Amino acid sequence: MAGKMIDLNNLNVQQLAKMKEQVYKEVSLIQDSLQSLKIAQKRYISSQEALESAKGRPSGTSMMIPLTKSMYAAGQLVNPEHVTVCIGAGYFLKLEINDAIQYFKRRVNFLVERMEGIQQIGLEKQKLQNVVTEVLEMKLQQAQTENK
Amino acid sequence: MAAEELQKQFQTELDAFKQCQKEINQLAGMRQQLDGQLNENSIVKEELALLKPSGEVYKMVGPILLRQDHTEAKENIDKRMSYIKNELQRIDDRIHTLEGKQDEFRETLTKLQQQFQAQQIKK
Repeated sequence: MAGKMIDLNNLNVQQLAKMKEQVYKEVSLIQDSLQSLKIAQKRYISSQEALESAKGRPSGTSMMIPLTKSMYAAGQLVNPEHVTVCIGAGYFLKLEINDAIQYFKRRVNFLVERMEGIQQIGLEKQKLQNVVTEVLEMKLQQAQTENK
Repeated sequence: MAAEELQKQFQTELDAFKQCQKEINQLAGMRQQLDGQLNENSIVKEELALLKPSGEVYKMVGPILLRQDHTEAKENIDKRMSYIKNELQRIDDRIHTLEGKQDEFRETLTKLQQQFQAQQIKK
């Protein structure tokens, strides 16, 4: 936002209303981003859990492979030590299961860090939103009493 | 008559201003997309760096996974990242010049408006 400090008391009602709208948009944008990050985190965690439950099973373990969410086909574990993980940008790595679990842990940590940063910004914006709303209401009341 | 001319000029300037604004918005969208790609690629780079020599790298080409050499993959990512960085630089420069232009338009528009108002008062 603007680098210089603006005294909210010097703004008129229209400017304040506009600012309120702006801050409101920013706050909801931040909340949306947090939501998306949480969804991403859940996906990583569920992948990690799947790996942990597959770890250590002997080759030949039979399992049901989900073809869609509601359709499964019978399959057998052929290579129990390795999994292929998508790391983005079209690249996949063949990793040992433990390394893959570490990979997911790294990703989750990264997301948690990001979420903490964004949450901090969100709190500040929310504070700003409260202050702007307060000043705006004060100004409106002032205007009303003056009109009487 | 002069008022009409002024109005016409005002309209053309306003259209150009809006065009400028539109382009800036488009560029901002592109910039965001490229920024996301850069992030994605830097994550891939980190992961490739952490990969053990025994690990295998695959690249998705259409619907199939192709085995790729470890060093080759690293080089590709580096190339991709520098390309994206160049693109970002290009877009930033373009946005910068457009913003300068926008300020100029804003100035002429205010001037024209003032002229117009002055004329209205004279009548």
